[in-house]
Amino acid sequence: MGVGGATFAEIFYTKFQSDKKVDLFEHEVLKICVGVIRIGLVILVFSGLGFLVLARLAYLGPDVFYSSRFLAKMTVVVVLLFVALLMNFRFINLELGSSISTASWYAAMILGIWRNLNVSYLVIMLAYFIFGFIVFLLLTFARKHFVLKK
Amino acid sequence: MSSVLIVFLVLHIIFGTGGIVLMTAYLLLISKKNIEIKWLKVSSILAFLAFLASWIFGGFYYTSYYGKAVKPVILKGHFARVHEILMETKEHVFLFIPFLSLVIVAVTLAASGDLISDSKVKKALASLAFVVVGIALFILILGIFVSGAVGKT
Repeated sequence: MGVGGATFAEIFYTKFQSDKKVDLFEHEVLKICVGVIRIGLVILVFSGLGFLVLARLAYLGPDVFYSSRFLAKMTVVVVLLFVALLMNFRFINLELGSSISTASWYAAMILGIWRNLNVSYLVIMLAYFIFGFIVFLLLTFARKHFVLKK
Repeated sequence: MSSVLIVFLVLHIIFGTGGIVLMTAYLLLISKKNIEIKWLKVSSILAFLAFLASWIFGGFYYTSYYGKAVKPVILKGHFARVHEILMETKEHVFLFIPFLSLVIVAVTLAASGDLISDSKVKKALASLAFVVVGIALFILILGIFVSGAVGKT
């Protein structure tokens, strides 16, 4: 839900920005996307905690909880939460914030799927930072491209 | 661990996380231009009750099981510091959450009329809610680290 919501929020925002203004209908569409992302975030947190309870009851301990993949995923989720709050209060540029948010959703999904990932926490975070930067560049390019086309 | 204790541990987590979600909802609601007082009251009261319930269930789990069965396992293992530093911090810092939430509930109920016109009260409440969300997230992360220290010995 989060990845889908973030992807469509970016697609719609880029499309709606082509005339450099967001009308009432476009605003409502983006509000729905934000709502979906928020529900996705709540589901992500609760389902993640559910898995942790199971790991705790199975006494899996440090193998699961202190693994670099888990720590990186937790960091990404915390980044997602804080960027969402910062964007809400306009403490961060909306375009930069949405790029970080989209990159974080994809990073969380990739970390969730890639179960046999066996690299250190720092390597994962460096990859996440580079990935975020690439997403920011791609989205900036897409926004400019669409504006110029109109 | 008995089924009752498992249920209490799960309820402690659910209510604690639910409290964070509700307090975040309060923070988002109060930062809106057109404040809906009814939903502010509902979210603040529910957040306070959720934190209170989490405290009760967590407290019962801690006093009846954690201290006797989990703490010695952590202290004997490689991650003794997790209990000595993180759990001790969690035990003390969490106390801010229910009381700060109660302050938010009291001010929201008492000054509901001023919330629309007085931006100072609004900003103060939003800041306080942000602090509560921050502390509660910190406590949640500490809880995850403490759970991680309990492995097979």
